[in-house]
Amino acid sequence: MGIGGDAAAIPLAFEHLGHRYRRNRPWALREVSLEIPEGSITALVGANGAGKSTLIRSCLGFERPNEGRVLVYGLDPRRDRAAVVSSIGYVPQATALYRGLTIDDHFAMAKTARPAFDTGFARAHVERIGLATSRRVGELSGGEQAQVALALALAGRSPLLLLDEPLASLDPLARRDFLTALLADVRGRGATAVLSSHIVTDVEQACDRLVVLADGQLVLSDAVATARERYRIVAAEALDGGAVIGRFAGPDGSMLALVDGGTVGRQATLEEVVLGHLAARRSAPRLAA
Amino acid sequence: MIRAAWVTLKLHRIELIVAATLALVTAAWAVWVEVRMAGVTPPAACMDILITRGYEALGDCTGPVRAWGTILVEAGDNFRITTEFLPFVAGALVGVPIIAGEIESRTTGMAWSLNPSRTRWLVRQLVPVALVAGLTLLATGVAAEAIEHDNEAWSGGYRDVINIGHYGTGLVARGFGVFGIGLGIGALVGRQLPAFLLSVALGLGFLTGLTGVRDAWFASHEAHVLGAEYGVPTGWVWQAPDGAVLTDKAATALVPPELVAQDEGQMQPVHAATWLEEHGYTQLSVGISVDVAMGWAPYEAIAYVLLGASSIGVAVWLVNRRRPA
Repeated sequence: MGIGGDAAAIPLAFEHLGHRYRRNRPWALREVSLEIPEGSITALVGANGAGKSTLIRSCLGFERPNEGRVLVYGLDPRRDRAAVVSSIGYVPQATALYRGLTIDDHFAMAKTARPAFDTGFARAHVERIGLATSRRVGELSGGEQAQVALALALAGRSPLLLLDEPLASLDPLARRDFLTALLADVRGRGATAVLSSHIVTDVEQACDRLVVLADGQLVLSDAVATARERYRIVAAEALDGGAVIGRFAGPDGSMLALVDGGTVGRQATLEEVVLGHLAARRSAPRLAA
Repeated sequence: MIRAAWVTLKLHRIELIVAATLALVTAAWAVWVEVRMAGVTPPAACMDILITRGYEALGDCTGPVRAWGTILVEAGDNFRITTEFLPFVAGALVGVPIIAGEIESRTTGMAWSLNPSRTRWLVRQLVPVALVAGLTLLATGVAAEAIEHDNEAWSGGYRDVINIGHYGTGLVARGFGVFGIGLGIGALVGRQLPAFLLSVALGLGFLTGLTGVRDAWFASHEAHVLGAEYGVPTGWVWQAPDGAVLTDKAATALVPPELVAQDEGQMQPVHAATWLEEHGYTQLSVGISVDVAMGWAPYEAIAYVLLGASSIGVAVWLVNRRRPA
C-alpha cells in the first residue's frame, strides 16, 4: 500500500516497514504498509510481542526502521524529529513518570518543553477524577498515574495521539474513566488516535478502525463497522468450503471458523474477527531471522 | 523557565544535596582553619621575616609563627587530599544521573516524547544542576584559596605546583571536566553506579595523563641550577671539582662501565652517583622557577574545561541517537 494524495494530510503512513532489534533476531515488524486516516481512532491489536510497541515507537523516531519508512504528516521521524514529536501526544507502555515529583511539576516540565501545553486543561483533567495536583506521583495508584500520563499527552493539544497499551494495568473502572476522557477529548478536537491493546474488548467501543498485528506482520486493517459486517462465524464442522480465514476454539470448546463474506452462520464479534485472523497467522510460517 | 529549573533541581535533589554538602563541608573546614589561624596571626613583621628570610631567621618570632603554622599543618595533607578528590566525586555525582538516571528509571520515553528537541531537553537538565554544583565548588575553591595563600607564606613565599587544581577556579574546572565525563559515560552506559565509578576513574586517569603533559611542559622551559632557590626540579647536573658543570649523561660517561652496568634497570643510578661523589663531583638540582611553573595552572583549567565541553558534546550526540527505554 503506498501513500496516495497529499502525504502531509495523512497522520500516519507506514510503507513496507521492517524492523528488527538485532541482526540474527526475528523481525519485530516486516512489510507493514498501512495508513491511518485523519480523525480516526484506531485500535492496534495483537498478542504480546506482535510488534505494536515497535510500530508506535517508530512513529516517534524511537526506533530506526531496517526497511521501509514511517511518515507522520508526511515527515520522517528520524529526519524531522522536532516537528514530528511536536505533533504527537504519547502515552508510553509503562507509565514512566518521575516518582519524586508532583503532578504539577510534571505539568511545569511539559509546559517548558511545549509552550502550547495547556496546563489548565491538564489540571482540570486530573482534578476531575479527584486528584490534587500537589500530590507526588510516587503516591499514586497505577490508574491515577495513567490518568496523569494521559493528561500530559492530551494537554499538548497534539493532532495525533499514540497510546501504547495504556489500559494494561488498569482496573475495569479506571479503564472506563481513561477511555471516556480520551474519547471526549479526541472526538471533541477531531484529533487522530492510535490505541494499542492485546485485548480487543478493551478498545472496541472506543475505536472506529481496527489494525491487527501478528508476529510482526499486518493481518488486518479495516474500519470496525466494515469488519463487523464483513465477517461471519460458522461452526467448523458445518463448513463446506468457502473463504475461511481461520479456525479457533469457542467459549464452549467447539471449533469455530471465521469466514469472509457470505450469509451462513452469524455475524462475527470484533473479538472473533481478531481471533480468526490471529489463528490464520498462527498456522502460517513465522518470520525467519 | 525558573519554575522548570526548580523542577530540574528537585528531580536531582539527592545527588545535588550530597555533592553540595561535600563541597560546603570542605569549604567550612577551610573557613574553620582560617578562623583559628586568624586568632593567632603573628605580627606582620614576623610574617615578613618568614617570607623574605625563611623559618630559620625568625628568632623571637618563632613561637607566634609556629603557633600559627601548626594549625595549617594540622589541616595539611587531609585537606589537600580532600580538595584533590572532591571535584572528581562531586562532578561525577551530579553529572551521571542526568542521563543515566533517566535511562535507568525508564523515564526517557516520556521525557523525549514531550520535548521536540532532545538537545534542548539535555541543556535544560544540565544547566541548573551544573550552576548549583559549580557555585558550591566555587565556594570550596575560594575557601581553599585562602588556605593555599597561607601555605604560600608558610613555605617562604612559594606556591606548590602539586596543589594546582586544588583551589580557586582550577578546582571548579576539574569539577566541570568530570561533570561532562559523567554526563557522557552516563549516556553511554545507561546505569548510574558503573557510570559513576567509570567517570571518577576516567577523571583521575585524565589527571595522571595531564601530569605527564605538565612535566613535559616544565621540561620544555630552560632549566637553571636551583641552588638554594625554591623551584620546581626538572633534572640534575654534576659539578666537577674544577667547577665545571656537566650534564648527567656527560658525567655518567666518566664512570667505569662495569658500575654503570650495575645500575641498568634500577630506578636510581646509585653506583654511578656514588663513584662521582667519591671523586669530588657534586650533584646539583636544576629546574624552573615557581613563577614559571605556576604558569601551568591556566592550561590545566582550560584542559578540564575542554574535556567537560567535549564530553557534553558526546553526551548530546549519544542522547540524540539513543533508543529510549
